[in-house]
Amino acid sequence: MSAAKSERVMNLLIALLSTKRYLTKAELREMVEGYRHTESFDRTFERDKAELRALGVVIRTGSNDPDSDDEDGYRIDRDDFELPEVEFSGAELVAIGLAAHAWQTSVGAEATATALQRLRAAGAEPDVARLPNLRAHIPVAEPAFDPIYRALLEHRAVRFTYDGRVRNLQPWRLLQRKGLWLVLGHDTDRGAVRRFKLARIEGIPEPVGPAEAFQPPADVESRLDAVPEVRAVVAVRDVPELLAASTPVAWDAPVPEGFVVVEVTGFNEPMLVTEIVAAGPDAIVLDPPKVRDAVVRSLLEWGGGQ
Amino acid sequence: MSELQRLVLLVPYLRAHPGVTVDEVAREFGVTPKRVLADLGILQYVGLPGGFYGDLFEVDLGGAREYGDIFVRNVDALGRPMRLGRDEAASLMAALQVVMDLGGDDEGARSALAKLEAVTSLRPDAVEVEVATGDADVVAALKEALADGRVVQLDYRTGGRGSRRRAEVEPARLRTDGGYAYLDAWSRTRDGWRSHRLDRIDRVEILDEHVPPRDVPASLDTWFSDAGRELTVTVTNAGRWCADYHPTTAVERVDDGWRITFPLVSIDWAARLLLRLGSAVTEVSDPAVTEAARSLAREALAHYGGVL
Repeated sequence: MSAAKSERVMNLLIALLSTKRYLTKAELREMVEGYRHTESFDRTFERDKAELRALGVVIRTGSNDPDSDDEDGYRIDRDDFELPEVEFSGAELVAIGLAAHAWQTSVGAEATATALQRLRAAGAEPDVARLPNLRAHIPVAEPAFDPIYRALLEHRAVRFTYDGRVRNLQPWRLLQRKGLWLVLGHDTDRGAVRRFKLARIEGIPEPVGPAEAFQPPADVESRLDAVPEVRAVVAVRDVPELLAASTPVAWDAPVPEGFVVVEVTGFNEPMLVTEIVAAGPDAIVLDPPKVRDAVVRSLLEWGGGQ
Repeated sequence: MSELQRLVLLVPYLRAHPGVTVDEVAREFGVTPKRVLADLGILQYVGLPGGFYGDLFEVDLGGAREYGDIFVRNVDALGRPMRLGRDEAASLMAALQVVMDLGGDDEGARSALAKLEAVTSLRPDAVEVEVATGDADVVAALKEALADGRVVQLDYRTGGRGSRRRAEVEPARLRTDGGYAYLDAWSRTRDGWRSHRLDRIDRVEILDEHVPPRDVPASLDTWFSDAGRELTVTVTNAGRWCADYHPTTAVERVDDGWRITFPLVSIDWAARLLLRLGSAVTEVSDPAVTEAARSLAREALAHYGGVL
């Protein structure tokens, strides 16, 4: 960008920010240094507006006449534009400094860098060096991450191939569970909420259709984790994975030495059975008989036949 | 960053840092000092409409050239940086969330998050990262030991069965990676650097001894990298999930299924993976692993003696 152009777009930005009423193109041409002598004013003005919008500046259009539907005036609402006053404590600045390096690559890294720059331009000094003994990393290895993240932030649909089939998804949320990235959203072909593993997406997802095409629902939370529906009473010894999501229960019958009796939950029976089977001889299902039988059947896959 | 982006950010930055040097600004914005002076040259002609003295920004360009420090005045029209956009807010908030988890509900991260939520009026929910940090008391004790530079004794479990261990270690760093939090430490017991998954540490005892200075490696090998052997398992489509949740060295499509190769850390770990996969397994490369799975299953079935 030439110096003259930067100067002109900056002056346009300030003119639009500093006005209380809508300014028409004709007024802006008179006011803003750099427009007065431009021959191709219309084209230049359109380009300059596009330049500002690309920065994320919201330019409102409208008219000063409340009875008019004309949208021939322009202004920037200072509240839309400016970072509000905010002050951070020492501990908060240390946390922000640690957060600054969490994203190593990806859109997340660029966006965090920009956020930090804006906070520094507001006078905050994130403490980036104080605590080398804490390191928060958010690893992203999946090539599908960036296009989906962009689409999600723009509220735009994406299309990708998964299990050999083309899917159209309105992405609502990206989740990392056990180090694995998932995207949750509305599958428009099936008309249902679905989640996909990013590592399983074939090729690079493509944005489809316009931005702001949908609004993620306010209750994504409730659609995230189905409520665990299956329960079992299990005698366990030393299985952190099972014990982590368990509650101790009273059990009258004796259990082998070293075992404690707990109730464990799973989202469905196969998942619960798998967890118990993986514990091998360190878990014994006591109840219900249905889960107990399923575990025994599964163990017979390996332990049967002799 | 485009020139326009930089200029929009530069004005509030200079306002918030009176007397900042040309070199400091160059570092902050990743440009040359010459470029900084050129930017200041542009800003001289920027300001409120009118273009007269009093409307334009006042930039002491001569002072910047001669003394290297920068003073601006009358820049209130563009005195604040832009709001954080959705992408900036979402990324920074997700990162803060991880810092909060790593620090055991870190107070600074929690309140910074609340303030950011207030100034962005955006909900921090586009990205959600779950980190298994284990027991809150363990995290708190390790943070304390790190802050005081003290040696600790750890009681921990290894991935396999029945293996509780104790080690005396010099804590160097807490970190998150791939959904788990780790302690990187010099293990006196094992005489080497080790990473301990926090959710496998049962107890921490802070000892009355200070950690001697040591160079901490920038990155520590993850638990599986010192595995010398490999295990190849062929599974049907129903078993493909195991490649998503475990480190692999190869994943190959074969007739009616997948051939997946893992670094083999412990026979016990691999045997339990086979139990989990159940009937989805069609072939196992290492007979020792197959045998271990069989013996675990038989031992488990013995508990259900009455059923068989």
